[in-house]
Amino acid sequence: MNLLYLAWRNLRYDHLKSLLSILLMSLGLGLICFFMIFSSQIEKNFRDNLAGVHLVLGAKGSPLQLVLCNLYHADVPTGNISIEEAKAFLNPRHPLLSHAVPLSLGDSYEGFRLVGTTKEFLNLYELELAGGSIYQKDLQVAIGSEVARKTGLALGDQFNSSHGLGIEESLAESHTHNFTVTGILKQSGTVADELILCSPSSFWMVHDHGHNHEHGHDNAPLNTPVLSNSQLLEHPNKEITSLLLRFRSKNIQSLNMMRSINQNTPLMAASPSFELNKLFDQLGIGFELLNSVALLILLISALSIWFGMSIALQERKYELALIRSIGGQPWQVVSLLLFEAILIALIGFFVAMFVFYGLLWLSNEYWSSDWGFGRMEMRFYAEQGMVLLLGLIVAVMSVVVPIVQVLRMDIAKTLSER
Amino acid sequence: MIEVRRLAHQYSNQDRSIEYPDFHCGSGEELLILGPSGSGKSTLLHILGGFLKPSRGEVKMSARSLQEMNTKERNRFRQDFIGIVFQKHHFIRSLKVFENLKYAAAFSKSNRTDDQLLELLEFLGLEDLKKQAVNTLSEGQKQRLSVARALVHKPAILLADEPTSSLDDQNCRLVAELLIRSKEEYGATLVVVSHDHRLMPYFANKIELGA
Repeated sequence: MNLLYLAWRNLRYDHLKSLLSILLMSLGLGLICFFMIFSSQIEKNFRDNLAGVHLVLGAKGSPLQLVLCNLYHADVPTGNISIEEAKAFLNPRHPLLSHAVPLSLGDSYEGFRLVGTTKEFLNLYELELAGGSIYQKDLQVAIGSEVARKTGLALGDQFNSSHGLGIEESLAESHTHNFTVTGILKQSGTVADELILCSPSSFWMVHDHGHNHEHGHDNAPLNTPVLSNSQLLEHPNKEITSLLLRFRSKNIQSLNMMRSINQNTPLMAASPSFELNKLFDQLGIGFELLNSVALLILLISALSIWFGMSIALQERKYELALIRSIGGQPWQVVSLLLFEAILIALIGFFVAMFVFYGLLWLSNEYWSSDWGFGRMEMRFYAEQGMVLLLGLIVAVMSVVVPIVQVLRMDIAKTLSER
Repeated sequence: MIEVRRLAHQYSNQDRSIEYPDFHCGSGEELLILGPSGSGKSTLLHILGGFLKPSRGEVKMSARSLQEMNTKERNRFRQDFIGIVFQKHHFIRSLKVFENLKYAAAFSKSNRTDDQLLELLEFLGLEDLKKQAVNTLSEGQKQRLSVARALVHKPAILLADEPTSSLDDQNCRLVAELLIRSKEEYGATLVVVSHDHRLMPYFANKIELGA
């Protein structure tokens, strides 16, 4: 005798009640799964994108904004700094710094940010080319894998960038210079997948609007592309948005560098890991709130199963008593109710996984680039196993009371009722 | 086959107790126990079915005393030897007519094959309804299905509680004849408790309970 089949038939018979229980269960489990994985993956992606950067140097403003804008490309710049102000950090022989990567920000193409930077950026994020070559001249770009996928740009294609970071595209002003795609980067799983890289001098070129020669202090003409820090130092009056700094080693001097910069220079230095910890302390409250909402939905789902079973039991007690009277053992009746609850949990879990992967897809397609937390892999996560277990526990707990009622049922009295 | 002596039952929530006359019903015989509402007919059937332990007296079925059995033994005895047609039609709502019989056979550990169960449906005139949902059956059809279910494990004793109370004259006659035929076909001892005097012509042995 197949009790599982009978449980399935019972669920189908009371299909509306079953559907409500399954929907509530799947919504609760799907949201819990998404919030659990989303919060841990966001933190992981944020930390992966640190790329070993110890300090971000930029114009004074909000340190968190400086970090979010220049490391995660998720906020607007705090302002620009002149190369003259930053020249000490651009010195390749700086005793404390192993990397100093300049960034120029402020333009975009179809919502993807242009970053004027040197080739050192590729080393910092360990980026590799999937095709073509890295830019050698001004107005040449290397694009991230997601940029290529979503815009359809290919090697040799040309495009015009817009002023602004793509946040309000309707207000953006298009530049007249044509950029040419010379390289496409391999997918790295970092924020670089969503960036368009060019030389800092390309940035100056599209913004100078023919005023180049008014800056008579520069030692080099702008038709020579700037591809390294030493070339950057030849243009002390030009501006960049920030510098990403990595220490040679962490010692007292390097640890004091941030405080020293903030106290003694017109620049601002921010520690990404310190700012991230502050951010996640604050986000943690939000995630806890979201998890609480999901748990509440799951609790409602458990109550729905319990109410559904209890109400159904008033109608079904006769058939359960009948099963007992014709030889059905108590364990068979208990198994029947348990199977019904477990089926609700299993179907609810599979529907929840559709909800979960749907949210993951939405997050990857629409939210990750806007919020700067990177893509999340469409794979099986260990947390999903925990959520399945949670669903089963909730379902089983919700039928404990109906099971006790059935076991204490007076068969003869029940069969004489009505 | 069934022997009842000095039987009385005291309800746990009431002061009154019901005393029953002694009676005997031999193997393969039929017995009609008539009585008005409140005369303790259903209680007697529940005692005979092993659902209730009487307060006093002795019930012997197939030479075994029900009083000497514990609950588990009584359940086992019922499962092996007794088929019951209940006053109300209780079926597994989600299953079709034939599936109800199959699951009843499985729960009662009957070794009847599907073909034998189909023969049973045919015997009771339900073969055309085998794939029908039970809640679409008429009262008469439900009563016949109840009889079929009581017979799936070939019981030695067939008990029926008010089997005709909600039926019209035609269906009352059909069900009464069916019970007698079933008893003869399966060689069972038949005990029917009812207040329905229309059943009297069908039974050679009768007992009347007082109010």
